[in-house]
Amino acid sequence: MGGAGFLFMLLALITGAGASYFYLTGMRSENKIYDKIGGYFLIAQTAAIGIASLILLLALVTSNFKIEYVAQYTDLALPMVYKLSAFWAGQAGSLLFWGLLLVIFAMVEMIRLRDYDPRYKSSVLFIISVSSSFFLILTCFVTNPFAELGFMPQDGVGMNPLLQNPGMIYHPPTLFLGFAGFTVPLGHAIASIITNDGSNLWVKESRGWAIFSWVFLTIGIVLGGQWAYVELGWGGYWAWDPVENASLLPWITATAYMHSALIYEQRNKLKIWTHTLLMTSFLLCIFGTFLTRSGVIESVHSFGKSSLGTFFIVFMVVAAAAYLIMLLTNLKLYKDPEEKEFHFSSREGMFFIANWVFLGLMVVVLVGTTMPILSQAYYGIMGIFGVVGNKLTVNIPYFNKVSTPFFILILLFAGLAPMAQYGKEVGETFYKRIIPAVIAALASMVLMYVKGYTMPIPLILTGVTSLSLATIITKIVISVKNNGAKVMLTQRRLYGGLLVHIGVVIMAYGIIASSFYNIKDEHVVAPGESFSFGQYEMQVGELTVNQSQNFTSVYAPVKVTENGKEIVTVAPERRFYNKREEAWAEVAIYSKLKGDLYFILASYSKPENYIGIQVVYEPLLVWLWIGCAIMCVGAVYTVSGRSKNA
Amino acid sequence: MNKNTKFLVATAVIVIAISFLLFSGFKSEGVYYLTVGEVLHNPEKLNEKGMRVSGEVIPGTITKNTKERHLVFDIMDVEEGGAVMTVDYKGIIPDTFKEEIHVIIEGNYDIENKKFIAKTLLTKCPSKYEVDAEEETTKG
Repeated sequence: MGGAGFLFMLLALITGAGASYFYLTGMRSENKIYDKIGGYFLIAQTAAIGIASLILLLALVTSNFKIEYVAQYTDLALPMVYKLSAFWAGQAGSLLFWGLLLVIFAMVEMIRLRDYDPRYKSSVLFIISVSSSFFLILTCFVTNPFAELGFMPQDGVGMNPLLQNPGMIYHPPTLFLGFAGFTVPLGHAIASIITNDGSNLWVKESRGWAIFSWVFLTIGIVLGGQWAYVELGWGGYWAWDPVENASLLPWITATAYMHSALIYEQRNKLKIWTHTLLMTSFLLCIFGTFLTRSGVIESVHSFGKSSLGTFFIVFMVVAAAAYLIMLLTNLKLYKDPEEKEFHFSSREGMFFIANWVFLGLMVVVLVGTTMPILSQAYYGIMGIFGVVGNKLTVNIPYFNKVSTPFFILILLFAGLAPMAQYGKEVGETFYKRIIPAVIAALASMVLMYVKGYTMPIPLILTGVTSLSLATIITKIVISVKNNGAKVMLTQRRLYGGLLVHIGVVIMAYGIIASSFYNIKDEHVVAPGESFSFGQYEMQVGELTVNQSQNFTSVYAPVKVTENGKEIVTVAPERRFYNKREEAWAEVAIYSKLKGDLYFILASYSKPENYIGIQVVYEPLLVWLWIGCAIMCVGAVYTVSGRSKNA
Repeated sequence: MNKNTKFLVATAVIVIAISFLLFSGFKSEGVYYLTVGEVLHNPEKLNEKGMRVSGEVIPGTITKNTKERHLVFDIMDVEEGGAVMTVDYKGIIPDTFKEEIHVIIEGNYDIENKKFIAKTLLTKCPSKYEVDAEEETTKG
C-alpha cells in the first residue's frame, strides 16, 4: 500500500514538473499548444495527488500500521474522525495536503481562465504547479508519508492527547487553505508582469481568491487561538509562541495587501506596494512552515528537527529573487503617473499609512520571533572582533509592548480611513462628522475611569476602539440617510469592508477586557465545601470517575451560584489516556456574553480528601469569537453577488 | 513641502519609530536564552535580565508537592558536557512534566541558595508531535 502511495506521489511530481515546463514555455509564447499540453500534465498531476491522498486516507482508516505515518499518529482505539484528521496532523501528511490543495486550486483556475490570453493563463498555472511540485519534492524525498516499517506493529502509537480535540479537525485545514490560497493571487501578479499589463486586471481577477485565502487564514488563526484557550498549558488564546506568530505574520501582510489592492484597483495607486505585499505574504506563509518544521526555533508546539529547512530556504530565496527581478525590470508598468497628487489625509493616503503600520507590526513580530537566530548570528559575526554575548530571546511582555502602538494606530485608522475621501485632504466636513465619535470615545474612557479601570494602556485602547466603532456607525448612518438603505445591498464592497472593521473593533474589546482584566483565583477544598469567587459561590462536589472509548476521566463537579441563584454546574476533569502515563487536564468553561468562567482541576487526592480548583474570569472573551465571525461574514459580503462595485 | 521630501520625512519617522520600539523592547523585555552550563558560568551578570533555560529533567531528582503545586528538580544540559542545576518552581504543574522530559524554564538564578527560581515551566511534548527526521531515516 505504501509503495502504491509513493508511486502516485512520484507520478504527481513528474507530471507536475511537466506541467511547470510547458507552462513556463507557454508564458513566453503566443502559441496555444504549450498551454494545452501543460493542462494535460496538470490534470494528470491532480489525479495522481488525489489518488495518493486517497491511499493515505484509506491507510489511516484501515489502520495499516505498516506505514510508519499511520502507526505514528493513530491507534486502533482512536475515534474515526481523528484517524481521518491524522492526514494533516503530522509533517509528511500536511505537506501532501498542501500540495493537494494547490492542484485543486489550479484546476479551478484552469477552468475559470479557459478563454483568457494563454500567456496570462500559463503564468498563473505555472506558479501553482511549481509550488505544488515543490511540496511533492519534500514528500517524495525528504519526509515520505508512505514510508513503511520493516514489520507490522500490533497497534499504533496513537495521537497525542493534546491533538485529540475538535480543533485538530478544523484548525489545520483552514490554515492550510489560507496558506495555499495566496499562491493563486501571486500567480495573477506574475501574469500581469509577463503580459506587460500594469492595469488593475490581475487584482480584479484574483480578488475572490485573496478574500477566500484571507478569510480562511483568519478563521484558521482564531480557531487555533480557541484551541489553545481550551487546552491548558498552551498559555491561553494567544501566547506569542513562534508557531502562533508564524501564522500571524502572513496574515498581517495579507491584510495590508487587501487594503493596498483596493487602492490599486480603484485609484491606480500603491501598485508597487500591492505587488510587494502579496509577495511578502506568500513568502511568510512558506517561512512560517519553515520556522515550525525546521526546528530552528524552540516552541512548545514545535515539531522535530528535520532537514526540511534547507529546502524551504532555497525555495524562498529563489522565489523572492525571481519575483524581485521581474518586478524591478518592469517597474515602469506600475509607476503612478499622478503620484504628485497625493495627500496623507485623503483616504488613499490613510491606506498608505496603514500599509506602513501593518508592515511595521510584521517587522517587530518577525524580529522578536527570530531573535534567538538573529542574536546568535550577530554574536557569531561580532565574535571575530572580540564582542561576545549570550543568545537572546523575548517573551510575551516584549510582544505586548512593541505591538501595542501598532494596534492603537490600526484601530484608529480602521475608523478614520472609511470616513476620509478619495483624492482630497480631510476638511471641515470630516472634522464635523467625527465629532460624535470623538465624544463617544471620550465618554467610554471617562466611564471606564470612573468605574475604576484606570490603567492607561487599556484606557487608550478602549478610546481608539470606541472612536473607530462610533465613526463607522456615523459613516453608515450618513450614507444611508443620503442614499437610502438600499446602498447597503448595492455597495457591497464598502459595507462588507465596514462590517469587517466592526468585527475588528468588537474583537478588540474582547481582547482588551480579557487580557487586562482577567481574574485568577485558586482554592484547595474538601469535597462538598464551597469557596467564593467575586459574586459567585462555588461548591465543589465529589470526585467522579468515568470511562470513555480511549481514556478514563476523573472530574470534580463544581456548582456555581450567583447571588444565591444556581446558574450552572461544570466539571473540570483530568483524563488518563490508555497508553499514556500522564494525566491531561480538560478545562471546563462557562461562557456568557459578559465573560467566561474557566475552571481547571488543578490537583486532587482521594486519600487526603482534597480537591484543588483554579478559576479564571475572562471578561468579554466570547466577543473575540463573535468579532472574528463578523469579520469573515463582512469579507465574504464584499465579494458576494455580482453587483457593481462601490 | 514637495512630494519627495514629504515621503522622505514620513519614511524616516517610521523607520526611527520602529527601531526605537525594537530597541526599547529588547532592552526592557529581552531575556537571555541559555543552556545550564552558561547560567552557571556567570549568573551574576545574567541575573540583570531574565533567563530562559532549556534542559532535561534528571530522573530521581523530582520532589513534587501537588497540593502546594511546588516542584524542585534538577536539570541537565543534553549536549554540552551535561552541567546540572537545581530548579525551584511554584505554579501549575504541566500535565506532561516527568523525568527525562525536555523543559524550558524562565526566571532568575538564586546565587546564595544555588538554585534557579523558575517563574514559568514549559514542557516539550514527550513524544513530540513528530519523531525526529533523523530517527525516521534510521528506522525507515
